[in-house]
Amino acid sequence: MMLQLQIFLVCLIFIVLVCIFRFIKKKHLSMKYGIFWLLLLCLLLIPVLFPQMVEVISEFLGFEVSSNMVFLFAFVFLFYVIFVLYINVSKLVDQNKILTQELSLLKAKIEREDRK
Amino acid sequence: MKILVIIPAYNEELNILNTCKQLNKANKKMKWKVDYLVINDGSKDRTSEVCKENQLPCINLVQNLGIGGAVQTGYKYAYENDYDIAIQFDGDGQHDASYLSSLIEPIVNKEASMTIGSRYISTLSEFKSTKIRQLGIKILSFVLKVCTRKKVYDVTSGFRAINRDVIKLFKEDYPIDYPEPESLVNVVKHGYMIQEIPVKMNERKYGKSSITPLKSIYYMIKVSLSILINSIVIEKESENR
Repeated sequence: MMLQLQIFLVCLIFIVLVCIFRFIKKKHLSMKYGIFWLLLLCLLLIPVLFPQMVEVISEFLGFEVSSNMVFLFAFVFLFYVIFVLYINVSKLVDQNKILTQELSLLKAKIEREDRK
Repeated sequence: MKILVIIPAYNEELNILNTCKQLNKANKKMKWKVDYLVINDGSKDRTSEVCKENQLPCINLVQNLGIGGAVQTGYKYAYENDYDIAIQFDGDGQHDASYLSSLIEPIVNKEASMTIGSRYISTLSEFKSTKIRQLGIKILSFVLKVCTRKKVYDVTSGFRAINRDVIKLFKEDYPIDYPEPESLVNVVKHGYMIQEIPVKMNERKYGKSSITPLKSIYYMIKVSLSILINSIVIEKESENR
């Protein structure tokens, strides 16, 4: 890998790191998910700093071009993240439904008792 | 015998009062007295005000949940207030309150745990929906038969009565989007008896049905799949016990 590209990628990772810190600070991103993304970015630093490693692994796994391995891993990982998000959204919808129902039942009950 | 009629209503300011008047009228003729409860599913029109002005018993959902979430709220209310039977009755004037007792009777006599008011098992109902929709209902009925071995003709009928066992089942677990066909799987799989009762249904007086023709093909696929998946998932659950 060219040195310029390495420097560029390291800078990019650094900028995203700073962004994530700011989001956590402003409480736009919860600590739980923020830590996940911070750790992920730190892991991304490894292949950027040691590109030979990627070559070795992709050759070992039988990829003809090492970038194919990177794309496949990235795709699988993104699929996983989206799936987890879907599960979380389903859970939130269900919790939201229960809250709406219980709140509405309670409100109606209070109004009935006020009228008596 | 405590009986609750649950009326889900979304933007039904023009129909809701008539529906309740019909129920009052039916109450005078029936052997059983029924309470009714409007579930206003976050309507954007004056449904809530109409209920208040006419002192109709009403629960206003603080936001729109969809028909399934609204009806389930009614089942929760029925369960908490010790009702023996809960009846779903649409607020748009499609259902005829004079058939309430036909739905109640088999449940009181313990012949069935759930009764469904059906357009298709007699000539009572002249209104049977459009040809395309009838075909859709036939297909769903077939899918249900294949998946659960139980034949129900009017799977999308929203005129249905359930006993306390099924109320308990539904208050825990009720589908959200197009709940009528899907919920039947749950009932059959838990071994409860379903009986179809011939009723007369009318075309809705005001307002539009919630299912538009454009969405109906997607609806068919979605509901068929949900019946299929549900029948597999619930089977697994009962095996685990």
